Amino acid sequence: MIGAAVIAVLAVITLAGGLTTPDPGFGVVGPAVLPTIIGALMLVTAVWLAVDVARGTPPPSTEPLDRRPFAYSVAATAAFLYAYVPLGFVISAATFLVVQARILGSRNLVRDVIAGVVFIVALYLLFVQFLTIALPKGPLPF
Amino acid sequence: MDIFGSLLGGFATALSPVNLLYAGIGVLLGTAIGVLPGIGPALTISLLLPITFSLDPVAAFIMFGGIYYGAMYGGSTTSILVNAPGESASVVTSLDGYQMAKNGRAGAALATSAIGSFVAGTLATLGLMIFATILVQQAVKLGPPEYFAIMIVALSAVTSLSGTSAPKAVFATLLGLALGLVGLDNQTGQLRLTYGIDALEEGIDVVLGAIGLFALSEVFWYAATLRSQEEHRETIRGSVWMTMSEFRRSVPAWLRGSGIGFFIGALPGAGATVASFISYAIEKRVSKHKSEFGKGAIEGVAAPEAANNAAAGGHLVPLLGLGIPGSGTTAVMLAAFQIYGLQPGPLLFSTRPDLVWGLIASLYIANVMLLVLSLPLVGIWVKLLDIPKPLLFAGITVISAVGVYSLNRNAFDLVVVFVLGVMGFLMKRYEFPLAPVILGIVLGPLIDNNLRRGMIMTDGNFLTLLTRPGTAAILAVAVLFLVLPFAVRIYGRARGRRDLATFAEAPEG
Repeated sequence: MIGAAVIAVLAVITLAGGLTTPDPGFGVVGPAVLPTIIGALMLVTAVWLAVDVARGTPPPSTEPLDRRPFAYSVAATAAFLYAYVPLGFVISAATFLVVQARILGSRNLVRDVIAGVVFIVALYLLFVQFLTIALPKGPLPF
Repeated sequence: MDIFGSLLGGFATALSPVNLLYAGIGVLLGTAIGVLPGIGPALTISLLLPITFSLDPVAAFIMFGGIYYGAMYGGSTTSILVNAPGESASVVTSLDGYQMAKNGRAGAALATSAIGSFVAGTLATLGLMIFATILVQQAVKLGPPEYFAIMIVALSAVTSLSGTSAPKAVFATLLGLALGLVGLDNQTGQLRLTYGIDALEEGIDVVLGAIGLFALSEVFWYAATLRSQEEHRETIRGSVWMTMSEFRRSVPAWLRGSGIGFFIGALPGAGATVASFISYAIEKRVSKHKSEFGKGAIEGVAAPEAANNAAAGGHLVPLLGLGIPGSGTTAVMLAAFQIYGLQPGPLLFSTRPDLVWGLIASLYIANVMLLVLSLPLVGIWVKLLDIPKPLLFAGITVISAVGVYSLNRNAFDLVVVFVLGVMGFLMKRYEFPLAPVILGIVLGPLIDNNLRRGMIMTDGNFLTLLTRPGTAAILAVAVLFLVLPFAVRIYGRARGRRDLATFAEAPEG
């Protein structure tokens, strides 16, 4: 039921987005038509899912999550993606690798640091030297 | 120009030393990433996309040919040696493949899968060449309404073949379409579904979709199920080869698998997973060794492996012939074309024959390279399975960020990909299929475009869609796709045929 409610919310957002798109008045079918149709159909799937659940379709087997590693790794990923440009590839990726590996259950810090350094250097050389694609530098000169 | 002459031209392009090198790098990278558990072909291509940015289009697509078949093949190694295969197209292979490995026949399973992939890949590339050329000749007769109808077929097929819950699959498709429409409308210059966020003007790139929904969500999934992660791996004992009788049993299975795989793969929307399920079911039906299935029958590895590789070739028929992707993987391929400002389809065959035929020739070459490299290097591929999972998954996130940011050098893309990652995790947890979302993101703008151009042709008369013979026939197929799985499922249940009922419920990846 919560799923159907979430879908309904997304449907309304899409529908609102479609309905508020101004039609510049040329062309036969305006830019607002398809988003509106999609939003409306989403609303239909929300009802459909709610009916399905109400009629007793078994809900997906939701085993309990490992909340802590999940929450930590989502937070670490968010922090990494946020810091990627301002701090640069080398600093952000190196820190993230070690932290994330630890969150995901690695207990071998020395190995993680060595593997992290090798990985970062390899990726850096591949992109910057071989492919000549610049990576964000951050405060470092490279 | 005749096929043969064009193909020779393609080989002339693809066989230049530099391009051979790129094909080789593509095959190796594709296999290496494809072997890693949890990384399917669509994600492999998305992660490797940035590597091709600095290449010229011909070299890039030659590399893609290698990556594409390499990624398909890489998954099979994992499914034979590890009980939890990385991608849905390999699930069937693992039924008998993992059993064979447990019985000490891992070498034979790997050999039949490698040679089967070669046979299927070569036959499918041949089929691709013939059918794509025919399609291109016919495609000039198709107008926007027909293209619109064909895309509806692709969407309805992928929707109906995805997962077990119809409303969830339909929602996933609609969500993808909505995401695809975000940004500037290229016909009127109107902003759509951006909700005042300037950074969304450029739209949501399908590569962001693939990396967010497949890569980040997979990392979150691993974190969330850390305690229940349990992996059993078999080692390869003895040589990587088959006995004569195993070889004799494999040959017909390869051929049947290739045929089934190619034609199912060529249908828009019906993916490699469905092809491998169907070929497994058929193999079980015609086999003289029915009792061995599920306990390590070599046909049970040979046929689905051939089928999923042949399907990969089949997928390229609608992509190259019409410019319409039929699977998550080809949706990402289409995005790769679009990055170079190219639109695959009939026009590309005449404007860039070097590129199209170079790609086709490189598919043949990639197959040979895979056969030569895969078995001798199997030891290295297996070593990749030794990478500690925490480091592997942390590394996937880093590569994702690098890839996403190199795409447009837009920091907001990192926000989008994070949101998509969380969304992908939630969808996976509550059993919403993800492949339709990816396909929807790519097809959203194309459907919109063709629908509106079609409506201009017919002065806004929607009924024309039903009265034009071409579109009516194509839309009838779409309806058939939506109804067929339910019919098969009901029939399967009624007749107590679990095999039919289960493959109708096969998840799509």
